Amino acid sequence: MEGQFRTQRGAPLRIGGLPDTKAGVTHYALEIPKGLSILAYNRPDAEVLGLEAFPASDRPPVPVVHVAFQVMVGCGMAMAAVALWGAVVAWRTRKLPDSKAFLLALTIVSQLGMVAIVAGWTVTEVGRQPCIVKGVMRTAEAVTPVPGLWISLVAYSTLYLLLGVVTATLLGSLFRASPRPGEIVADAAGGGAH
Amino acid sequence: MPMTAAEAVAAVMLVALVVYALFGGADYGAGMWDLLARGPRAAAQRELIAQAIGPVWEANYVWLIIVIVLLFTGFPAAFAAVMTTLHVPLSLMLIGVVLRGSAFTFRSYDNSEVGRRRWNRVFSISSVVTPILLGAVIGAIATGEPGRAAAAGGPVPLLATWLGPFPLAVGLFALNTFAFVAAVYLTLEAPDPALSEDFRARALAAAVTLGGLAWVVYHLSRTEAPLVSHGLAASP
Repeated sequence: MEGQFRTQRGAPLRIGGLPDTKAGVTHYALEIPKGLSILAYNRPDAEVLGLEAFPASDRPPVPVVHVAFQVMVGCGMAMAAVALWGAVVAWRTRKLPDSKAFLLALTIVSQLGMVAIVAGWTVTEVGRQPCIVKGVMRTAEAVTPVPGLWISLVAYSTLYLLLGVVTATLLGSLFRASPRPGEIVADAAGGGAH
Repeated sequence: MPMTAAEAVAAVMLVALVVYALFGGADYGAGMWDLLARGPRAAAQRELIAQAIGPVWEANYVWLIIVIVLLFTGFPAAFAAVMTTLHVPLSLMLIGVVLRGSAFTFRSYDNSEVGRRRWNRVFSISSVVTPILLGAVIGAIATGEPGRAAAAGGPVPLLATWLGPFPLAVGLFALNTFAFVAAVYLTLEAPDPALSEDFRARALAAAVTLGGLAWVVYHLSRTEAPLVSHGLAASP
């Protein structure tokens, strides 16, 4: 998850980066010295077991897990940053922030919650490979003997694709049916004539 | 009487399944009465059904999830046998659950009359099919076929364990039970006497057919599910 291949004292916390499984190093990461040791054991010089302590057959696909984890944390940080921005503006101007830049940022980060969920799920599911129950059962032992599973896969995918299309269509029609800003003002000025 | 841990877990599963049948089952039954809405008050019947199940029906799945999680953690061998040999009815049931829930939600957001009627159709048909599959799964487990097929090894049978007279009879029995429970609840929920009378008549009719189906299931169980049959015959 942290792209830590070697067992070492005072292990750094890596932000970003791309683990190279063959060479056993994580490239291009921003390293915070001793960060990982503090995070894991609350001591800057604590020893952190690296991936090298485990046989290669017991390791998960490191790059997938590391990148997914960075994406999840990054999404959380981005959302927190925009929230903080909004709070500071609201506190300084005493009204809800409505600048174009802020609203644009809000539109973008509001998608990130879903991205973070999927990325976090990838971390747990890929991260526990090659086991399906850690230390008890391997994924290879848990594969179902049921034949024709591609039918299930196609059926579920089609079902969810259709449901997604319907949801988008209905949301679209609700959006078009909602009043424009001008109409709301006109209605209020009419003083409840209808 | 002291209970083993396994019996205690099984007892909790049984309680959860019964609670699901009483609460969640009533939602399916209400969906069936939606499909069968007839007479001068058909529209009022449908509206009452939508109002009655609206606030609670999602929460009722908690009971089914408890049963499945306990089966998985408490009895993994049985879980494997059930999930593989009954893969087809369980998958179809899951699709029914998903379609039912989404159609129920889409119905209240669709602005066109045609669209609303279409979602209503999807909702009520899946409300009828899903309990039959749930009952068929339970009926199939009662026959012992899934366990025997899993123990025998070899290719997993996809249809043989549940497409028989006994599982399907239990399926119809489950649907009828849910319909009866729903009609009783709706009789009490109805805001005016005429509507209440509609559902009272339906509850009585469902009770009569339920009695008939119970008789059929019991007689089929003698040859198809002897374990259950002996248990029923020996109970005081």
